[in-house]
Amino acid sequence: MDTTEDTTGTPEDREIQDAYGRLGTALAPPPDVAVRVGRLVTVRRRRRRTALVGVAGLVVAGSVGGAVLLRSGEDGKGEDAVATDTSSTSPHGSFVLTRSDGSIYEFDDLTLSCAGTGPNGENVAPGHIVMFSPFQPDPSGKVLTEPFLYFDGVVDKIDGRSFRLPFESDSGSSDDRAFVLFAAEGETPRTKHPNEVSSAEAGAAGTVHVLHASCGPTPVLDLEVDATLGSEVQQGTLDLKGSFG
Amino acid sequence: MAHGSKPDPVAGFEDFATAQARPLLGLAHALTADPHDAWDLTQETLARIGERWGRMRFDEPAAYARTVMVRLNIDRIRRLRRELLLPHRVDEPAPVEAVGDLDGWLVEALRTLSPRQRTALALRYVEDLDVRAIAQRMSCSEGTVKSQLSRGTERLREHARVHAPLHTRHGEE
Repeated sequence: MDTTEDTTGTPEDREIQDAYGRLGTALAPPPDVAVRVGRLVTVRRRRRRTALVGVAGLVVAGSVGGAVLLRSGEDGKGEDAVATDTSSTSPHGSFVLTRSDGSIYEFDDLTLSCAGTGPNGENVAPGHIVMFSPFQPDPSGKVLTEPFLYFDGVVDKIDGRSFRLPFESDSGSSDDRAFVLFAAEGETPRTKHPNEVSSAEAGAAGTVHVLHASCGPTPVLDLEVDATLGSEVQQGTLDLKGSFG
Repeated sequence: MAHGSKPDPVAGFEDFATAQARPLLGLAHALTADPHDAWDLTQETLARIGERWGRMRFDEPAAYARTVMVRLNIDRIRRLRRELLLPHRVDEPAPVEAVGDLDGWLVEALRTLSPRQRTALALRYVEDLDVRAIAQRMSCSEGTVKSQLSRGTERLREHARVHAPLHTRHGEE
């Protein structure tokens, strides 16, 4: 039955059509709708950035926790807060970031982990695999002293797939993304406003190949990146190349 | 290093949101049959667009917004509530204003339909889309759309026959 042909013929159908017309114009949004939505967008962007810092914080905890857990394994105490790091491994690989000033930075100290539910909520959700470089803030904890690299992927959505950048979720929400590849420049005397770039931003280009990703007893991430990442802070793009696995 | 240009990421978005809020709210009202949910859905849709504004190139942002809204609505029970940053929502009425007549029988009828049926009908009656376009918006087959439209329309007809104004029940306009 093709209802496109018979929905306007009867009085009931015309009444339905008219009632829909009234329904569609019965409500008016608040005059400050743009302000309200803008506020919501701002909050979300801030939350996303906070979450990234949170993950970076987890990196710090993980680095310390890894050593703690090593001892824990020896003495049988596994109560440390980063118990999920028992699945961390240290595969080989490196990525080269071309910074804003043209200098090169190589990430070759990378940690891979499949974390369970942790203190940072969404970013360590089950089913995610994360790869990160050491997070090295200054004593205040607010300023990066060295560049930082972070990859977060949903294993089921990235395993065996290649992505052309920029890559966003269909919904446009960061919560639905299959993956995000993020890098930040460290702050130096020459870079007072370090760039932060990701695979989801405008200006991103190139490819991310996830040859294999899995979260078994030993997490596996076989990753190849030849990409330009777009700025999250309205600066220029940065190039990132390398592989891992 | 391209420090020279720093485009405003929200340039133009306020105008877009202001212009589109009312028609989007109308579609959302037809999708949800609830003013509160309609506002939530409208706000969420605009927020999704706002998050990407300036970062992604939209050929037809208004059409894209409607696609986002439709997909949000289909599984909004599962996703929308979780994502809305409105912890005060329960205590506050939606900031929408009733500015026109409302047919209570239609609202009641819509509330008896599934989200997918309401979606197909809203796209048909509010957006005036054909089956193919509805299927594209809903990411489903044309056969599924026809089925949803058929069942949904029949339910609305039943309500219209019983509850709509006299001229309909008498078959006269």
